[in-house]
Amino acid sequence: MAKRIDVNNLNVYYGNFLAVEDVSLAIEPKSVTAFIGPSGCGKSTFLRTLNRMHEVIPGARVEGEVLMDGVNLYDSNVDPVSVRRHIGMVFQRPNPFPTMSIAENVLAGMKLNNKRISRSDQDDLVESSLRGANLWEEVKDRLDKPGSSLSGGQQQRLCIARAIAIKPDVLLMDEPCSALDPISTLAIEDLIQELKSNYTIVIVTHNMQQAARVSDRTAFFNIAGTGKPGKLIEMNETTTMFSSPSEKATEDYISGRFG
Amino acid sequence: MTTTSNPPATDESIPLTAKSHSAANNIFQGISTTAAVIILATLAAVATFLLIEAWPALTDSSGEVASKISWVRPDEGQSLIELAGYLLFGTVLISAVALLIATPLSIGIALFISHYAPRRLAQGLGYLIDLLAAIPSVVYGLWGAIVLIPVLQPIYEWISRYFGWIPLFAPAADGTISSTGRVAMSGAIVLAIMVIPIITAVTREVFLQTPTLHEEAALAMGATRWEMIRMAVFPFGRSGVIGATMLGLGRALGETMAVYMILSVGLSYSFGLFNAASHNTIASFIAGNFPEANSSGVSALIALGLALFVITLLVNMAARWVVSRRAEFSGAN
Amino acid sequence: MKIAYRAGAVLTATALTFALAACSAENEDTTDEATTGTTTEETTAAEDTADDAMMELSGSLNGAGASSQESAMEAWRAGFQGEYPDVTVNYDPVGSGGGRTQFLDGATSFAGSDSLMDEEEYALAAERCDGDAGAIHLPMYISPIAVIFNLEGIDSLNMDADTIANIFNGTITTWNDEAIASQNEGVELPDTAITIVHRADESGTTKNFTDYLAKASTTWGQDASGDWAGAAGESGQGTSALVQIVQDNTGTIGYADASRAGELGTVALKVGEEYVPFSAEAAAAVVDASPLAEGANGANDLAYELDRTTTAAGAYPLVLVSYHILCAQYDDETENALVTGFLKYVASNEGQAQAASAAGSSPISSDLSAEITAILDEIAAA
Repeated sequence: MAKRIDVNNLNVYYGNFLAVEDVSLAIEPKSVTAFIGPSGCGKSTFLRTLNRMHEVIPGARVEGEVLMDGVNLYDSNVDPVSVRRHIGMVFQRPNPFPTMSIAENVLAGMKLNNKRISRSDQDDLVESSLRGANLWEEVKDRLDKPGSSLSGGQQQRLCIARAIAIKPDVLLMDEPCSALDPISTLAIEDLIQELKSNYTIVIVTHNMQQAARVSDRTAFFNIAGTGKPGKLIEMNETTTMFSSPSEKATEDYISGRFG
Repeated sequence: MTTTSNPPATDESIPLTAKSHSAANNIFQGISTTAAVIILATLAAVATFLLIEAWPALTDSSGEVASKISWVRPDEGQSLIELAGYLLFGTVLISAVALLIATPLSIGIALFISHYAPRRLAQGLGYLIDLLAAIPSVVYGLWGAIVLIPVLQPIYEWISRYFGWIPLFAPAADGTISSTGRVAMSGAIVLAIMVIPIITAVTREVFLQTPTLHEEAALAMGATRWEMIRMAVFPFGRSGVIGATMLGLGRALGETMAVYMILSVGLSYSFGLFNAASHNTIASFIAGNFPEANSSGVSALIALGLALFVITLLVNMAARWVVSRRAEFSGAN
Repeated sequence: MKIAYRAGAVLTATALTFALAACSAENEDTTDEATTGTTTEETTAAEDTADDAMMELSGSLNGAGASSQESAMEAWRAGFQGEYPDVTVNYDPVGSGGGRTQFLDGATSFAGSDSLMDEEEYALAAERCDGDAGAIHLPMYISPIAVIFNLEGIDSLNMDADTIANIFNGTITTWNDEAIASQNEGVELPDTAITIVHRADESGTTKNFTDYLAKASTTWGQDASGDWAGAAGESGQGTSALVQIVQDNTGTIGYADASRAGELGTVALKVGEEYVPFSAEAAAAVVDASPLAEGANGANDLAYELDRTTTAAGAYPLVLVSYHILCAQYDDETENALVTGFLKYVASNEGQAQAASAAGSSPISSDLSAEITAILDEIAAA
């Protein structure tokens, strides 16, 4: 559990369009790494290359390597499906399966692995995952209700529970709070703090305060202009980034003087 | 509704009491209301026509009307009611088998187009499928009768020899199956080919509507493409697929020409799909017997048409019920 | 494509039914609408022929009915319109029943029908037609029905009515059955199973075929019916489909309009002590040998009770006779001239020859032709 990721000289293309250029960085295990930057700077795209989810879009490809504990995820013999079983993901908008109950949502990943597990083990997994996502107390009496009956914040925590139910090594979060109200956001942030003791967490956020609150390290991405590739400007300890960034662009962005 | 006909020329604000219904709004509302009323009136008119025309046959308790119709022979177990029973059985059997063949194939084709094929191929295939839907049923019937059936007959022989223990494939009482292939199975296969484009076109659209969010949710958990389809696409498209199937069933139930031209007709409650002279459908029976029918015959045929009308209505209601049963879990909320 | 065309006929008929239902209140007027245009009596020296003052006909004449007459009607229409360019003859092949209904509703001036009117229809006709004479039948189209089969290398078989009945009611199941073999010495009959093929739709052909079986055989055991009531077998909708099935499958036997028999084997029927293959003369002969039906509407109503059991030499009793049904009196002069003019053409030797070449029918005998002409002249003169 909780593996490290090293990215070396990664270029991301959509067809012939270079979306993200030459990124190299290291993500430490059992820590929270935040990606910040203006819209369109390629931070979400880059996040998706970490579990090969960008391949969902036809024509998307990468150059360079992404190593998880030394194994290149883009090796020809690596199956993207198994990559995603090791590196889970939580999306911008809560997306529980509307046709499944709360419990079924949590177990969805387990069923994919075709593991036949006993009824009691299933119940245990549902409880532990929902407890892990701080949702258990709120939903334990209505596990058979549809996941879409929950509030937005609860749905997002359900998605986190669903992601951690398959016991990934790394958890990617793509602006997980951008569709949520402040109280729900707070609940998720608290959860992230708890989760980092077991998982490597990477979070993309637009909210600088959030990055400052939850992350240990922060990477700042920027874009030179429309049609130009996004680049990693700098990456450092979060406290350092927010107090004394080494790049002018970072300082401008953080202090709100950007664009 | 806060549409206004005249935007204020000055910075004077619109009074709250101003009429908010513009003329265009009223006209459009009028047109759409009229359209809705017309379609309801048409439906009512058709139902009324069927009832009035069928009335003499429906209320014929003395058998006076029946005695004038050559194909109604109460003493040979072929009264109008018994006839309707045989025909309904044949209609439903052939349509059901057609759907059994068509639905999985259609879902497969729709999935291929929506989730597997490269975009260009998918577009071409989509056009092709739409084109298939435009071929008149007479052409399917002719093609089935002249080209397809001779090919199918030996296959029926083979299936009947090795799988004859399944009632659907069992040979007739004399141990043989039809030597011409003009049997219910052929009708069902041609009907299936005819409804595949309809079901495919609708399911394809439904599958394409699957929210990316749900697809990505499945993929991010490490689902393969097929697992993603099972987890996100099918549940989301479920009611749409049922709707498409019912649309196909509607066409299959009412389809005349293909069955008319392909089937060696007969009346029985046999499940033997390979046996000649065992089945007929309502639509095909009406088409076959209308030209020589006298007024009593026409009335009885229209009564049969009414039965088809009712059956189609029931099937659609059943489908709606199936769809609504799990509305809480549908993708709609 | 005959089959496709029939579909069209069904649709037309359906539409007509709707239309008729919609305007049944106006039925009284439709007689006038059926014949439009004018007859201008214009006798010039050049056109004045020996017989009578020729009328220069114009207008349109509407008929509907039996689809069996369809091809013949095409020929008659073309021939008649060739003589009278200002006349339009319309014939809607909706089927005998539909044709009679339209005629009795006053929507058409005459009907084509494979079967005779029943008592009720005679009564309706008396109301529909002008005067008190009601309507009459005139046999215009005689078509032998061939029993066709598909056996390799065999073109013709002899059978008596009992054998045919036993085949079609399922008693005889193989081709080398003793009943068939004994009548066909020297013919190598295979032991293949007999597949009977019948019409799936109600038809005049079926009705005449089963009428023959019911009357000429002792083993059929059923009444004549337009709807197949024999043993279960393969079936096709319409003549074309039936012939197609017989052509495509060996061991099959069916019945169809003789003009459609083509290369298929045909059965010679036992009449008296002889076996008679179908032919035009043989078919016309049986009509001449038959008495008029009991319920006939006077001497002018040539409604025949076909004598299926005739022993007249050279008669072929398995025939379909299709009639034209018309009123015995038309008060409207134009309609009168058009109906009698056209039907006289149909009954003439020329008209019958046209039908024979176009539809393969058997011309009516010249005696019958003369009789029909006399009846039509009588109506025209009234």
